[in-house]
Amino acid sequence: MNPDMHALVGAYAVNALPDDERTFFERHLESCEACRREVDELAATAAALGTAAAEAPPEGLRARVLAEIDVTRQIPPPLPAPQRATAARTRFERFPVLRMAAAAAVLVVVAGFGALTARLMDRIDTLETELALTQRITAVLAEPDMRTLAIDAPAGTTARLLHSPAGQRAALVVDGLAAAPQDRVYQLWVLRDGAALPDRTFRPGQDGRALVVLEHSVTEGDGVAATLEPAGGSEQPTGEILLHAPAHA
Amino acid sequence: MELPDRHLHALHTVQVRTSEDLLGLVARGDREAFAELYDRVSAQVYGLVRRVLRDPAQSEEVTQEVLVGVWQTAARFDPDRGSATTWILTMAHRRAVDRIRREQAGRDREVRVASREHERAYDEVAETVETRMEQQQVRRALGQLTDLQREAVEMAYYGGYTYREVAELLDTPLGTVKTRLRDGLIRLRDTIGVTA
Repeated sequence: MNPDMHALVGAYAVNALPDDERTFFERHLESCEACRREVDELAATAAALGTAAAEAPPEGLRARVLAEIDVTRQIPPPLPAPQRATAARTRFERFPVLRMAAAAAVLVVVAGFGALTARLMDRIDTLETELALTQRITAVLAEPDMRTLAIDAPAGTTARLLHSPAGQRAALVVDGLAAAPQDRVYQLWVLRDGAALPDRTFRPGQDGRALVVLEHSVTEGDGVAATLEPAGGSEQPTGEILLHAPAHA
Repeated sequence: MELPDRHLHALHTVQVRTSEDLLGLVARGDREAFAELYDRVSAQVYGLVRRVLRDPAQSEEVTQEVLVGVWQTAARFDPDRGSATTWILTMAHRRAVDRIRREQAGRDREVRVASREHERAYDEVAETVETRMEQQQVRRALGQLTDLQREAVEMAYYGGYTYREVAELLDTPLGTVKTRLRDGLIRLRDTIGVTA
């Protein structure tokens, strides 16, 4: 039990945690019922602060929202025990490296949580972000029907899409990707029914590597692509397609 | 008499769906339930987002994102953890805060006199008697906090600052800010009488 975690409950409830701390705190919540209960109550309190500010939105918003939901997929309700009918082809032998990285990150985080200097905290922040990311990737990898798909990529770049058709989850693994210019960022898109749905943005690390789990559910009829966009991402692709995984039949 | 009987009968057969009911239906793709939920919560979402973002165009964009997000992720709503309104407004607040941090990374860091500014904003925004009453209730509840707690809560909630930024702006230790936020919210919870 880490007393530091409990002290963050208030800040979390008003969304006052920076992204990396938020990820780490949410992981803590998964295993701490006391914090979860307190968060729920304080979130309800915070929402009461929000309720009092009601203001009618502009005309036309309603129609736009209703139109957009017609082309927006919903996340499925959580499945009960796995019902995998499709044949499993796993490539776990490829990814023990990721598990080792996760274990190493955990060790450093646990060791570092004593007396904190600002610099140590920064290092921990970075590792926590990486750990959270690794966990999301691991969730995709854990799907029994997960398979890797080749992606069309520029020379010198290798890219694969990890995809679980049953779980409808996908993740991009890329190596040797050119750095994004200062004011730009890579953005992933899910290609469906002629439309490009905006997904996560990312910048590769110094080594040209990136691991990104897509937010949208991804089925076999979807394609995935990446473009360079202005920082902050775009609603529609403006850059040329740099990575492309076409839809499977 | 016939009239009261008919009236009573009507009351028995009218079924008002709770927002939690609606959200459950939305999770299963019910567009009509979503439209009804939209009508119930869109003003709250827009109003809250506007309080944080100020700019009407951005507020409209983020409001749309939030409401589409409600459609998209309704299956994640867990009624055991809180009400539909709390879930929706928490999402709204989070997205507004994410947006303001992205858009205004270099924004002016002057410390605002929080309560005076927000009193003005309250008056601007009040449209209905109910809203005004709710605002008074919130204002009264905020009045129960110490000045330092109220300042921290307002900066974090309405200003979208992280607790680290609050600490930096107020030249206060991190631990103190964390405590003020937590204690302030606990005090508010007890005053407003909220249970999850």
